[in-house]
Amino acid sequence: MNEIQALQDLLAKPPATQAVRDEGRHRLQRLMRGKPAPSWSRTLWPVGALGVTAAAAAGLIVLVGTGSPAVHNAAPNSPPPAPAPMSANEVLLSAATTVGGQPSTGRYWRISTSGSLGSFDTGRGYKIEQRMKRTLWLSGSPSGTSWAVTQFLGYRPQTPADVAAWKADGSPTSWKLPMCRLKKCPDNAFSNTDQPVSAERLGKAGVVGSLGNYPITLAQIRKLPSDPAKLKAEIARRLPGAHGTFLDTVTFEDGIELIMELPVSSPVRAAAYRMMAALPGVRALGEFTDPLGRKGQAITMGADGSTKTKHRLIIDPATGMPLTWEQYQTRNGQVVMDDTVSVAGWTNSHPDLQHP
Amino acid sequence: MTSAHETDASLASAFSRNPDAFTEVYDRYFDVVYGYIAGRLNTQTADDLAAETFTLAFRHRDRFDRGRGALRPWLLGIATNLIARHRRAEARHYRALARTAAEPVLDSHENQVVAALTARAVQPRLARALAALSAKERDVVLLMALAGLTHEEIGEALGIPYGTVGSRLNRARGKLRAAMEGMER
Repeated sequence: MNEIQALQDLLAKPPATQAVRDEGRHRLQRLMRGKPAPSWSRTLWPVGALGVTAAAAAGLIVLVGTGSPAVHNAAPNSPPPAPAPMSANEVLLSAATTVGGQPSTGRYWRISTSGSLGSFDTGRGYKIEQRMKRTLWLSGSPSGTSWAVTQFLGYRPQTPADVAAWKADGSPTSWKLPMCRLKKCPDNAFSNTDQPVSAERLGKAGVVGSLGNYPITLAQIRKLPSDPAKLKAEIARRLPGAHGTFLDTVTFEDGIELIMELPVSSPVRAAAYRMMAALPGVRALGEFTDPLGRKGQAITMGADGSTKTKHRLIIDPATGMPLTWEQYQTRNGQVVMDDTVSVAGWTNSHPDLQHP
Repeated sequence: MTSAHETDASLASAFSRNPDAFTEVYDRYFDVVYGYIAGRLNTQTADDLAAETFTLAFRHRDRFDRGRGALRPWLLGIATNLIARHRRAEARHYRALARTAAEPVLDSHENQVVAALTARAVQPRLARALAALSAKERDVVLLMALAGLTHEEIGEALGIPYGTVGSRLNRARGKLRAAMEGMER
């Protein structure tokens, strides 16, 4: 097998569903007729009736979840207005103060996350999703060993509605779905069985992660500046060719990745939050509940230099650390990527290589 | 030269007279654009970006020069520009593939099963090598693998000379091959 065929196997995906195909054609036809795409925010939200950004964001979730414009009818008997929501600046600077005050001592920076690897339409009325659990044990000392402990979970129905449709389908535990390599789409098997846990030793040539487009070593991490402007310049240096709003959004992403996935000192972690606070385009969404039911302060930022997708970062005010980092489509609110944090912080515990 | 070229030329002259004819471009090329984006990012993002590729193409349809090239590379060039804005999704996708084995292909004959097992063993290394390529190398090699473009068409898609396509492709394929062979040693 040559490398081109190997790539085709590696990157095989199911074909688009008829619904996706039809929706795309409708978007094109609306444009041809000179009509803008319908905007949920314009058609369904009474802008100004509630606290602007927070209400809009909360309304978005309600609409996507239930398909009914619940926000509309709330107005006449609505409770007294909530206290003024924190601005994005306040959320980020407060997180900076909180993480900056933490001791940077401990043998390992440990972070456990669960994230979606993607979902597939089964063609039986529901989608199945695969998630990956991962714990990073990143040694803060050159003599220590860093680990990534990973487990791929089995495919499961995605939303409560998907679970109901899956039960109606007889609760199958495996599925056959076509996976396309150019025009050929043979069936592949997908099962709900979790895969074994694997532990990968990190730190080859001192590399414990990446920043910008390049790997970063522990020695380089120790030289990262705790001044927000200097940190921003260092990240920009690692993103050759990026400029304008695209540079802003990738700087935002790299700020979050640095906060979550690098064994930096507390002042550098705080500097990353301060750097993010100074970026144009960062907005507050108010209080948000994450997929695990935890409440935090959410901020949003364009995700691709356009307005099509956005990042949503939900921060725990108590620890200053992210609870969940999502990417969602502004058009319909659908979350396309998420990383949900269960544990984060410095620890003296011995790495547990059996559990992600 | 090819029938695809002739079809494209007649399609293009049709939609330059009547914009509604552009839906035929969508129907003809949606699958290849979708497969290319889903292969590099993920299906959820492809659900949106494939449609976005065609709405962008429609907005800029006057920029399509039917004397010079075909529709497929033009559309895939637009898709490549959109993918470039999803750096995180792409990196995350390859990182995940580097840590997992592929799902087995069903209904295989015995020797195909052996081939499938070997392929599974190679995949994490291949994913790592793919992630380590430069964005420019990745563009050329994935336009070939996922969209089936020729050297010439890759040049059209990316707006780079034929010779540059060849040298980038050789470099990229060499690195991927080295990663695969590393497995066999």
